[in-house]
Amino acid sequence: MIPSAGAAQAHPMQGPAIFLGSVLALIPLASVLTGQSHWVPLCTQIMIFALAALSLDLVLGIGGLVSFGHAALIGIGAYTTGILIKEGWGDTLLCLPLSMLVCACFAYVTGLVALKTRGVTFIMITLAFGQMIYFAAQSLYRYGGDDGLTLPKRATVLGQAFLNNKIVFYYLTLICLLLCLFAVMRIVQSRFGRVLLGARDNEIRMTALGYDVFRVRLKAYTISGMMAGLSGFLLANQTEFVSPAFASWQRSGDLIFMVILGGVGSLWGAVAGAFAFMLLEEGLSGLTENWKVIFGPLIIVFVLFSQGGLSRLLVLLHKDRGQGHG
Amino acid sequence: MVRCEVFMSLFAIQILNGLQLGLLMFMVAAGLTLVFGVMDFINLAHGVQYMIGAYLAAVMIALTGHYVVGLVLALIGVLLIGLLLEHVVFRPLYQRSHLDQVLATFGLILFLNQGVKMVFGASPLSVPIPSWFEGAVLLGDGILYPLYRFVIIAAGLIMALLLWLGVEKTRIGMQVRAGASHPDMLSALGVDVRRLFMLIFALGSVLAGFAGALAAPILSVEPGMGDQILILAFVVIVIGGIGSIRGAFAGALLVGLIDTLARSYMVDVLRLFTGAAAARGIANGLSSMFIYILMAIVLFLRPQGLFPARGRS
Amino acid sequence: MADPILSVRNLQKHYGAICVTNHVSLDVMPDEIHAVIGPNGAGKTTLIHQITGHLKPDGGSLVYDGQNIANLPMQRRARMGLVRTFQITSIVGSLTVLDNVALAVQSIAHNPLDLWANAYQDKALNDQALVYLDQVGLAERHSVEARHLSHGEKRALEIAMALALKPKLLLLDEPMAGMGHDETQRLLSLLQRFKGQIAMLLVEHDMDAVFSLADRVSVLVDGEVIACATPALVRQDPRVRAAYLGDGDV
Repeated sequence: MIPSAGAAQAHPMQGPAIFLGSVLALIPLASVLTGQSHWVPLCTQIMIFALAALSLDLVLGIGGLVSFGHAALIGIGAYTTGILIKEGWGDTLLCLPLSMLVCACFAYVTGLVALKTRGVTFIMITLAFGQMIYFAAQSLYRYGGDDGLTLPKRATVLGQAFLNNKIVFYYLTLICLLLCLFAVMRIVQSRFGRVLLGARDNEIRMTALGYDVFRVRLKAYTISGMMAGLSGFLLANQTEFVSPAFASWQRSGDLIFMVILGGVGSLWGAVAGAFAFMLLEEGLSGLTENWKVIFGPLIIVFVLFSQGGLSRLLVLLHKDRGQGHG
Repeated sequence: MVRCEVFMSLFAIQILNGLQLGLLMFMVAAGLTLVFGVMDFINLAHGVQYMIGAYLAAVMIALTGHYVVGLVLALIGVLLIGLLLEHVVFRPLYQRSHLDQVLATFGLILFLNQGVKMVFGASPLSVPIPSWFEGAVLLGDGILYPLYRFVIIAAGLIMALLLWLGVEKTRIGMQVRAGASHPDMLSALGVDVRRLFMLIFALGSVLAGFAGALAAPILSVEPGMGDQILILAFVVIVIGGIGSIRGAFAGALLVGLIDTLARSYMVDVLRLFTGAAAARGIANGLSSMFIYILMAIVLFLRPQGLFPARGRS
Repeated sequence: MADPILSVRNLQKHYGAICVTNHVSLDVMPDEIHAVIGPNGAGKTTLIHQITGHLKPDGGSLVYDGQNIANLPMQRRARMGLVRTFQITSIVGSLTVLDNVALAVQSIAHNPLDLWANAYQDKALNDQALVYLDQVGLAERHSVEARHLSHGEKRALEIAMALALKPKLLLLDEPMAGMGHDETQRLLSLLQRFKGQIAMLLVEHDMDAVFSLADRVSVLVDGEVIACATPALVRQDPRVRAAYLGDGDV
């Protein structure tokens, strides 16, 4: 479904990732020097979404599975953390692994159903599961229902309120992002990743080679869900608030756009895409409250003329060369 | 005995409400399923047509002061906007990957929702119920049901019948059916695919716009009103089977009834355990979840939907 | 005589009223090349699809290597050494030629789905893959993206991938289709080399190839096996001539 961008995706570039990491590590310093104190929380938030976009890129870019319910996983992670904090169990050592575990379980169970389907149906069913979580969050009357839940505080670390410090939280987020980026790059280059990529191009071929494509995808989907859960944990702590809107389908659309913007399957591109997306949003919303009137057409133009145009070219090339698919 | 009768008439009201919701959804889903089945095009912006229909109806009715004239003008407006969108945005997307289609139409939603908000403001518009259809029908035992809602049900049924006749009995309908079951065969049969796509698209737009216009007097006309029904319509067509009008009809009624019944009775059940406000809050979310759980179950057991387009496996 | 490696009995498959596989029975011995010929639409590819698990038969039995495989999924059959090539070339276009074969080597290696170590720099995998590429004459093209190969090269790549799975039975679905004369000759001699070591079920239109390679030939017409014999006998069978070979073609 997703046009191939060549073998490049099997070998994600580490250079840009290292460059990104170094720049991000210096942001707090730059923010202190220039007095732009809002940079740190803004970049923290962007990195959290970059992490979510990265996890989506594993299934969408490498696996070729257009999941339209990825925001739900952020929502689940955020709510797990939020509920634990609210109930007085708010230590990172509990919240963090549990958020990831719950998300992994959700991804696994929904993956069992969704991955049996292909193409448009897969898009629809992931969307439906996303909506399910959105409405489930709405029905959590005890935890704010529609209005969302304001957290009394951030998660503690062994009882200490380390995460209240903006800079500490910034670096925690950065470390999480870089670790995940490293992990996903390893996975993509591993035997597992090669099978996942192969199945994106030619599912039947991979099955004929003896691989259980369904299991492979399910595993990737679960890993991706776990990472999205991590971003949910971070988001809940950063905003000290959780709401059904975290899981909305519009948010899932945003995540897809971030991935596309950076270049499908390039991993560090997902991070770059998240930055481009959110800075653009920040910039446009500073210009006018109706920024979506500009943003919407920008997306369309982008799809029609840039990435979309390129991918179309590749698809045509693909066809011209008489590439079969079993 | 009396309690039982009250229960039955309340039940009848819920059934009618469910029917009405289902038929509105059907009108949105019918266009979506054809666009989907024949063109293999995933159009997230279909719900926007519903919203535009409602807004145009509100404006035109207010301008002309006449319900029918306003409605007709609104439908013409929806048709023109639909054709414009088809020409400018959708046509270049037909051959693209689903991912591109999802993204571009997603951008379109952002634009149109916000555009409507800019022009008309964020607060809902209200549309008066036309004077002939004011009032209510007595359903026995002093329970009244608004006449206008019957009108919606009747209009929905007539549309369904017309659509069925059109698809089953006409030449173009035959091409549409062929396209829905064997999309690659169309051009081989010598069909002008581009014209057929435009036609299906126009039909879908007008149907969705008509549903929006019909719903305008009983729902709040506000930006983003199309999003919710769009996602429900997706559920409907996946449950019913992609490309199948019959499936869209059955799926829409099923979803409409289950949603309405679950919503109303779950409150009662939950009230046994918790306070009224809490029960209402929880029931809203839970009953919405119900639909998606139903969809997951249907897909798991019958991946091609309940009534797949004939010949499609 | 040894037991057959593959034993197909009374296989049936219908699409509505059309019967595409009509009580087909055939055996493939562990050391033979068994060809299946028949006119277009005779149900040859459908037969292969059922043997590999791509399609589910409506009836009949499939015994491979002494085991009933009728209910096993495709990937399980592949791992048991029941390996196929596709009529329409099927490769992973965005990966290199070497990676395509390495994917096959990896499939039967220890820990085929390892999550961490770099697969692309796995010397053991790559060295083995190169051996197979060498066998089909593609070693020099190993770093090319597979979609940039010529048609004949893609077919050769498929054979290399199939061989890398260490098949006991190789199902070849029209391997010579669309190949030039030289390429056909190269493939013929390659298959000749594995004759006796790997059992093969060969579906092919190129009669010269069939008659030079096959030990036995089954003739499939309208989903039915109308004859099964040595190439020489099949050539003379009047029913076969009438149904398929036409006059004087052979």
